Amino acid sequence: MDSEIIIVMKNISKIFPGVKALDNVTLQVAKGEVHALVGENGAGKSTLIKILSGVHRPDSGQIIYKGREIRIESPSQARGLGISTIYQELNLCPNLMVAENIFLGNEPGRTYFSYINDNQLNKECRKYLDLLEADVNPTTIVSNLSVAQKQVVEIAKALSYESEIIIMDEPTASLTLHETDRLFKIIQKLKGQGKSIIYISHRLEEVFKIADIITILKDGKLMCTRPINELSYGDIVRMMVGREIQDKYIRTTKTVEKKVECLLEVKDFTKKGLFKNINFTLHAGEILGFAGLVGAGRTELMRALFGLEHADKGKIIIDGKEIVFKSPKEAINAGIGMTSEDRKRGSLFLNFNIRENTTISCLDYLSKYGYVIGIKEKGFANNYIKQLDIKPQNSEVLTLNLSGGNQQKVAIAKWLATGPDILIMDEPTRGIDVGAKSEIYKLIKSLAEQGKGIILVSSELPEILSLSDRIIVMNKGEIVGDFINEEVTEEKIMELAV
Amino acid sequence: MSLNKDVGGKISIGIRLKERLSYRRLRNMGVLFALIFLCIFFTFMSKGRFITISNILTVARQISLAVIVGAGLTFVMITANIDLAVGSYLALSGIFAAAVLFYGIPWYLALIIVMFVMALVGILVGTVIAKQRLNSLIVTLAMLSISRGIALSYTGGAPIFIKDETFISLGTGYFGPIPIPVVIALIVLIVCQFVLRKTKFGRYVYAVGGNEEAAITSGINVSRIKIIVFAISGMLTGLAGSILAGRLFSGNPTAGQGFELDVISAVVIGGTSLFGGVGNMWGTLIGAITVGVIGNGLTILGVEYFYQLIAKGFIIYIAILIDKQTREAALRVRT
Repeated sequence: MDSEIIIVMKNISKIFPGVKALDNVTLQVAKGEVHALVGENGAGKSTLIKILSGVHRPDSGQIIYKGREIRIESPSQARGLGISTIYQELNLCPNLMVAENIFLGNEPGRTYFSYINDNQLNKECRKYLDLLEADVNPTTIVSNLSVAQKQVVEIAKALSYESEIIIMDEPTASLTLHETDRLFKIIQKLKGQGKSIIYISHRLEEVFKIADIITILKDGKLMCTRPINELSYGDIVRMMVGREIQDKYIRTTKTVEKKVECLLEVKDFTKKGLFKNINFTLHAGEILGFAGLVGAGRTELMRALFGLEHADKGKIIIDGKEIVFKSPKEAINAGIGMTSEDRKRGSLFLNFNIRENTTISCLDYLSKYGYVIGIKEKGFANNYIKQLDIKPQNSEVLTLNLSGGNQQKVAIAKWLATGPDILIMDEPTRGIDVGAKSEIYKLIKSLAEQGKGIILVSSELPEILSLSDRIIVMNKGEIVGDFINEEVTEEKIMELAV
Repeated sequence: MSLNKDVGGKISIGIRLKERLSYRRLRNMGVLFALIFLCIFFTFMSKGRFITISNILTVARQISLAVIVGAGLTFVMITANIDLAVGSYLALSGIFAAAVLFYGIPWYLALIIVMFVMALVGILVGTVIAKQRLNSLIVTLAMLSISRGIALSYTGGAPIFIKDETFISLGTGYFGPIPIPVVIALIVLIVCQFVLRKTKFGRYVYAVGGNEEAAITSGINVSRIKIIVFAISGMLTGLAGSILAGRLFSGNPTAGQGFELDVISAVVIGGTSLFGGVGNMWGTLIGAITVGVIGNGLTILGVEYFYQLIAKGFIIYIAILIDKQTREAALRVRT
């Protein structure tokens, strides 16, 4: 289908101090097209779209929009031209209502002190929300909305600017499958209206579902731009990463040994409003996957198990002893570690370097009379850098400057350093590209082989199915399924989770 | 979750009320109840002396300065900033007014000049905070000292007397039975609430406090908003300082010490979060009344000033506690 080209980014290059983020990249988008942009972290995707949304300016190259060469100098200019971006960290004011957010900066009235007619604004807003068939009210305060609803508000905002190009950066990262389907329906609608969507995602299965054309970037260079149906999954991965990757980890069926040590037993764990009557066991060398929708209570359960929150009732049995942890320190002493769902907030200090992050929970062991022994600390950190293949291999690099995948490795290293028997991993590969994901999977597998018990919480079913020995499904705070991996399929899990 | 279709204007208003009836509103009601309780308590304990018309008007006059300055501070705090220097500004503007009047300038011109100059001070402070990206706490803390120092050094520590009768009546006069400061405060309150709620500027103030990033990408000139709110705060403090100078018949370099404490308490008790994004003028009014009632009530009961200070300190602590609980509860309600 020959569609009119709406924008061409021609021979774009961009250099940041020390790195060539984009090297002669050309991107061409047609009207009514869903154009996927994929690549590993650091491949240049976000730089490219930031140039398109006016945050950065290219060092060379041109942008031709609707046949005319233009320069995009600022985000508001980009918006004014009809290019809207919906970022992963949603850009809404949580304290304002939906309608107020949608028209923010775009209200009628010439001066600052012009009167705002809220009734009129709400009506206008309703118009855009109806276009998207959204179940959102113009007068709801944004902080009361779910992530999926906030996204819809952002899309409505893009529509209110009469955007022709809508850029979506990892839109499904925090969405459930159901919400993702809704989003795809909306995208189809937008296509029908002649809008173009630039879709950035690490989830290649989604890209196959929704995109017409795919552009692959690697190390700042354009690898190819092709219609999606001309490529296979393997082709794309190979071009993204440059080597053969096993993303879908092939499970070797394990013969279940009869006498495997039970590391953890949870009984009747309950916390009002969050989870109820949780009972399960975890054995040495086992990967126990927790599946379920966002909001099913998995993260809350793990936080309570780890001592970050207090459950109303229930007990944990480790080594035959009954305990309830009142603080993470107690959990750590009992041999449990936990990497957070949001590694930036939860487990890592971005202002620390690799060494400091890795050793933070073990400083007792590495210090004498309160003084941290530098050499010991450094050697300790380097050991883990080697073990986990963290790049760059310099322990003094700030964690802030690492890629998502390497940041996650540092988070894991930090917990491994405490020598746990049980490791709880909450969404360990969130926001990590295909190449790094596979390395994390290898790591998890090897930890299990060393005899550790791993609890894996993930919203990516393929991930759960390829890694877990046993799978527990949670729904609205309760356990609705407890299976051995071989007994269950993706559909069955979804059925139970919804 | 909520109705999708508007079935008549009435229901849509109802829904709108329901949405706005967030925890914050409920909390404001809590403060209102606390206020009513306090009034009843003091009335009872003072055997009725508290509730006389004369005392009510006294309280109203006492808090009018806090209301005027509080209105300006509410703008500032909604943008997640703070102005600790308002007490010193009070003294500075009073002295400035007295100095200007000394040279025979008519009262209305003097008032305008003072407000204008204090607005400039606010612009200066706001520019430093916005452009140099400095913390408003530190910058205004510095201004607190600097302004006080200027006031003291200019006057050598002594007050400058004011002879202009009309100017004096700003602070001491009556409009019918109501003290002029109270009238001015009410006008300021109504205008500020309108600007905050009904104009683009007011909307942007909330946006900057709610999510500065989102405000920037929405094309709002965040620096400009910050500068303007400090200008407004400065200007209103100039107005309050002039009223105070009228009342004291002089510009006094030691005026307003500790005033910032009262005003910030009033604003926070009134529902404006220290972290920005929420707040409104009526809340500030209720907060100012609460602080005023406590001071007035304790005075009537003969409680010494020192103990009053302790009481005030506790009130601030409780206000901040409630602020935190409110925000956490709001987060839970969302689930």
